[in-house]
Amino acid sequence: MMKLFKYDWKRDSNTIYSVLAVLVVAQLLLHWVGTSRGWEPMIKIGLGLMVYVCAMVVMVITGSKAYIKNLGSYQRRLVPIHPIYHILSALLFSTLTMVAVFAIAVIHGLLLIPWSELTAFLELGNMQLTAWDVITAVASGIWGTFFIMLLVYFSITVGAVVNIRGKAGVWVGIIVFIIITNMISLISETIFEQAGSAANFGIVQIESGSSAVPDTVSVSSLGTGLGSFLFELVAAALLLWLMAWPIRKKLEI
Amino acid sequence: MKEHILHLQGVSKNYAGKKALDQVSLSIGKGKIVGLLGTNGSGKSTLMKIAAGLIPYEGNATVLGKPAGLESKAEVAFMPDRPLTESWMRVYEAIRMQRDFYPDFDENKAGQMLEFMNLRDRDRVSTLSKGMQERLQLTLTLSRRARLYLLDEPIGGVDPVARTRILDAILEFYDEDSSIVISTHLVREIERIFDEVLFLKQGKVVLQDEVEQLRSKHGKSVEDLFKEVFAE
Amino acid sequence: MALEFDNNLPIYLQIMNYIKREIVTGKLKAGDKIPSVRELAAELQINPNTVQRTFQELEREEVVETRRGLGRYVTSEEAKIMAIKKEMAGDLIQRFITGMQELGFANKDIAAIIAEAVDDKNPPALK
Repeated sequence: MMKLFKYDWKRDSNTIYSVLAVLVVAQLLLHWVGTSRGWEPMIKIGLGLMVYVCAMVVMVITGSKAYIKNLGSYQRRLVPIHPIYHILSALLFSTLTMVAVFAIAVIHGLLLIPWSELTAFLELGNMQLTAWDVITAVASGIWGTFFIMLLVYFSITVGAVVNIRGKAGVWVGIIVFIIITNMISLISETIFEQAGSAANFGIVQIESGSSAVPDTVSVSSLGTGLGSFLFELVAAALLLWLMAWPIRKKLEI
Repeated sequence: MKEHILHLQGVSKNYAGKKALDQVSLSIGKGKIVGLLGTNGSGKSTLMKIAAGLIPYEGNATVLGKPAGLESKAEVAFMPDRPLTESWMRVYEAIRMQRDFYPDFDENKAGQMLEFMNLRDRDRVSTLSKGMQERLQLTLTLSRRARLYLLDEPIGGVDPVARTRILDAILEFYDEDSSIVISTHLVREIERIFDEVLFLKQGKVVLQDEVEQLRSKHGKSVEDLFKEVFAE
Repeated sequence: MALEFDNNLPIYLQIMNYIKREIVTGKLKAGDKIPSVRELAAELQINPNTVQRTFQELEREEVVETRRGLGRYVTSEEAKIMAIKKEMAGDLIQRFITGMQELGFANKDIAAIIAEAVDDKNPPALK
């Protein structure tokens, strides 16, 4: 699988590096402009977050395109490797790119944003964030991106299967994605009876309703706590198996 | 059945109601160069994709006794009608990819062939002309020491000079332990290198015979027979 | 060897005739080495098995012999080469006679015409 990953990486490395470079430059610019003009911290952080979200979106798109190309490439499909590795390789690629964005965000946060501004923004009140909180938040973030990409890939696969019979594939894919993300959070909430809130560790869910900065920046993992995580793990395994099946049956795309 | 390199029994393939292949049965022994002849849409590509383990099918298809699919991919070198290489690659990356995934890839052979075909390592695949792309595809495919080579229209749409080089390469890398199946609709240029030919019409095998037998029996060239069989 | 092959007739026969010609006309001398199957197949762009069959037939006819570990060689027996020459001549003559008969010539006329045609004093043209 790592061999596959090597080629996934080579294919898009230029794009990835440019996006990351632009991201860093943009954040630095924002920070410099914001500080010198004395903007409110909320605005500074909010705008910064928007830029991060844009970067994530680009990564999601790149990751999706990578997966689609993997499904279609003859050179790949002829390789005597179990199809599950094509999926895993693309997932690894997407996850890594998004983790890179995260990493930049974390470094950014640690270096440039005063602690007080951050806690105010996250509406933590008097709660203290421990190192453990941070670690689980990051880990859950990573898992969240992995899981979301998996859902995206799953929807793409379903769309591709449908595409054989007609051009409805793209729409089917989108609908499937919407359905399945909602299904999973629904099931998760019913089983575990937890509604997320920004104060719980393990969620990276950021909202800022009142300020002028656009809200509902939900980079959320769909669930909180250990129970949900296990559920998602099981769901992921199931979805992976479901995806590998049509590809193993030598899907024609 | 183990002596056969490729064996199909009652293989069919449907596409949205249309039968691309209809109960096809055939056997190909080792050391043979076989022509798979038919007009466009006769099912040649489909047959090759099945043998290459790319698509699902009904019936029995085995390569060296292994069912066509994941297990057989390592024994088969397939050159499809679509480019095998991803367009972002350079020639040397395409070569490396083959080397990374196929234990039977012969890098020396590849190097020789690249020279023979006038291809340079650092060329970008996307900038190659059609003829050069074909040569690259052929290099990637023939540089493997596979037991079964499947070439889908290797000389279609290619200038006569490239065509000769391609035929030369095929003959030079011929091996008694493996077999080559070449699909084409350009019969005249290539019929001399075939041991046997298979005529595929509308998904059915209508003729399978040794070429020299056909010539003695009918006193006609394969090309003439082709015209007769596929006349509208 | 720039050779035009007729795809309507078995190729191995055509190669056999070609090689016999080369031997008879002296381009391939008695005891000369013959190209290997691969070399010939590549040169003529012909299926190797066809070339193999050609060689097998030539060996059967004792026109060509295999020396273990060394390759294939034209027979060193001059008598054999003479025999081939006669055989090829015989084919030509037979074809000529049949052709002439089809044109309506009687056998003794054919003989006379030939005598005249190869006579040095007369240019080889039919009257």
